[in-house]
Amino acid sequence: MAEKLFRAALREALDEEMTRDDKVYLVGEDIGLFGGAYRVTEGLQQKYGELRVVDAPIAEEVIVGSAIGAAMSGLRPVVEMMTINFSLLAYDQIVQNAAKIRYMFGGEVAVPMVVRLPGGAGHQLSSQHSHSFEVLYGFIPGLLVVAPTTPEDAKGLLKSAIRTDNPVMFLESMSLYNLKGEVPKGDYTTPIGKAALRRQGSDLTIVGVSRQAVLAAAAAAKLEDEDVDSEVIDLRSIRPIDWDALTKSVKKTGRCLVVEEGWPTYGVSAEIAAGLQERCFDYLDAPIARLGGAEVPMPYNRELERAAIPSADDIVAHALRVIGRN
Amino acid sequence: MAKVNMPKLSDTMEEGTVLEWKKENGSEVHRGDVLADIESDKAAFELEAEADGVLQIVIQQGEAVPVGDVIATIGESATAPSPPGRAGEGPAGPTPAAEAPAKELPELPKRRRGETDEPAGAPRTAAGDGRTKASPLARRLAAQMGVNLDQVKGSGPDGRIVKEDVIAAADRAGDSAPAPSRAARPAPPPRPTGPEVEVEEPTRMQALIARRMTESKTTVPHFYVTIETRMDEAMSVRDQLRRTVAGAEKLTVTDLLVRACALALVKFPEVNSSWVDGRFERKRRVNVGVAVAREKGLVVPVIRDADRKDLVQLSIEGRQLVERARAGKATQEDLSGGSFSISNLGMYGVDEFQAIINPPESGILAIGGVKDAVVVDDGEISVAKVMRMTLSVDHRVYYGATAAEFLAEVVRLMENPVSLVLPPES
Repeated sequence: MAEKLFRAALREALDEEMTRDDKVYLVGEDIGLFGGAYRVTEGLQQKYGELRVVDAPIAEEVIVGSAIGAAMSGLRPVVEMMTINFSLLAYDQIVQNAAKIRYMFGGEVAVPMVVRLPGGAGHQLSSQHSHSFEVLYGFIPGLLVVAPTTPEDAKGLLKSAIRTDNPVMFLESMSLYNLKGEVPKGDYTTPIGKAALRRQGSDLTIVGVSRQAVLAAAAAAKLEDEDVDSEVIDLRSIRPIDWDALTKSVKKTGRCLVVEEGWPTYGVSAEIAAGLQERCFDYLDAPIARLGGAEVPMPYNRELERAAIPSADDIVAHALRVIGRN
Repeated sequence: MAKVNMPKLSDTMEEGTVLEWKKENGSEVHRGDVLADIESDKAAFELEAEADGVLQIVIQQGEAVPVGDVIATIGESATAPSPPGRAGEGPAGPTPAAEAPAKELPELPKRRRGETDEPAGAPRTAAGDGRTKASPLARRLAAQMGVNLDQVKGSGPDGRIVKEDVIAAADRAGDSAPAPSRAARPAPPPRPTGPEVEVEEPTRMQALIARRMTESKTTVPHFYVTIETRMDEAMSVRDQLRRTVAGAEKLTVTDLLVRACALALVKFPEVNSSWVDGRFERKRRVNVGVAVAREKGLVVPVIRDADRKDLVQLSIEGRQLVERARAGKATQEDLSGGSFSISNLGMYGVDEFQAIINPPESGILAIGGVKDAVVVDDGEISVAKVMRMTLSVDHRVYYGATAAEFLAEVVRLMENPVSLVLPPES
């Protein structure tokens, strides 16, 4: 095992998969010559050439539409949206075509496409460039949606995403690109559809979505000082949801807090809370709580932006409320 | 005025003891309220009021009186149904209870035998709409542990009753140490400075079990016979019935055994007998008890006329009896009149064990788990499902050969389970 940056782990996955399978190609804005807005694809065009690392025009619908067509014809495209915010321009292609073609063609044609979606807030990018759109994709049957939070999972999940025959929305929290962590040597995959138990505890379960899983682990350490033993689950797979892991944990602890950076109304946390009360009603010792981003367009002002994103301290405060303190 | 008499709680009960009055002398009681705990020769039961009115206690707790004696009366209510607020006062201010610190633990009456001066009843925690607020988990645990949520004060947000409140209430009801406070993880246990052992009072049920088991093992001459039965057919029939017969979805091995034992008991009247006062009592009915573990204790609910019921009836009735027993709601009818019992520890992975007879019964069948084993048939080795059963017998009532024949009949029925599926002879 070696320590690697989250972005380097992603690059390693792309590099290894492109070597393994010459049907894999990359397409996106500024990913070739420039090496990608977040340097994930740096050096890959030199290595694999302009046909396999394609610098696309600034036309998201075209990028995704062409990738869907290529995928239907037998290639395995990995699209980089410069940010998830721009993916709204390709939303029609993703929802109407990528998610449905395999179904509508009776399974005869598949869409083995990955769309990498850097997103999240915290960089003073203001209202239009700070979205957490997990729910927009998690909502659509026919898509697989994952959000890794460690370098190990980033590499393993990206490899799984490239190898599956179904379209995968691959959510990358921009705040995690510089996160360092152990990455196993060699070829390995992380299964889509499995949550990760990050910490065992007995008093309550904190389910974190994307970067909030990292903050949940930090909050759990602070909660320990308050004599609260929390269990942390990194949701990791937004669609499908790993109900087995969530149910097992909540049946054990009897209490649950779900945290996401996106808006909680109709959010991922709403879905998790509803599904858990259906599955664990007789095991609940407190209402399932949700914590999400403030329901406003993201403010530009640094302090206001901080106030609008759940912090580890916010998670601690909510957790204490769930167990009946404060 | 209604009289409250010492009830007859079992076939053999001649007198009963008022263990504890649950209502104060002179207090208003309502039909269905639990008035007192009464102990018979077999078990303790709750005595419910059968009329509304004011309770006048005649027999103090701890006293024993013959069945039928008046132990209390319920008279006319002294006052009309009390108005919601005190008459003549202005707008009701906060009640003292509402001013008390929210986290204060309720002062529940300590239940001890012989005490007469009981404090007032436990507080009732209710939301503004009169509904008791409790988490789903607390409700489930309360049902399982037989805790009345109306008697529990909630420590959660807005007075919600949470898991730890129920556990603490169950512990208090069992006269044991208070539960640790909720949420906080137990601090590392301090090195004990006091005596080496801690003395814990048994619950009434535990005391009763201790007395009766000692009595049985010291006065009933036990002997034991163990036999193994093949279970492949029985498991297959059980699974088929579960899949195909309405009402049999939860059929258990124990249900099959109840049926097999009931049929065998009909065939062996000497097994369906007791030794009472130096004579045999031959039972005309076949009532089979099933031992059920519950929190801090054990009860043996009895399925009556088990020979006249089919497997579906046995399964449904058995499950209802077990649920009532687990919830501490078994009635006197549920727990008396057995001639023979079954105790199944198979689900715990036990191979075999020996049970103590529950007098005046004369036999108890201890059941081990169904396991795959290597068996030899006509020199051929194969793998089969087997189960071991040990019959404990009162040697005064019948002897080794009868016990062996009886067991062989149970095995024959279990290994030919179609005979268990046939409708009972009416």
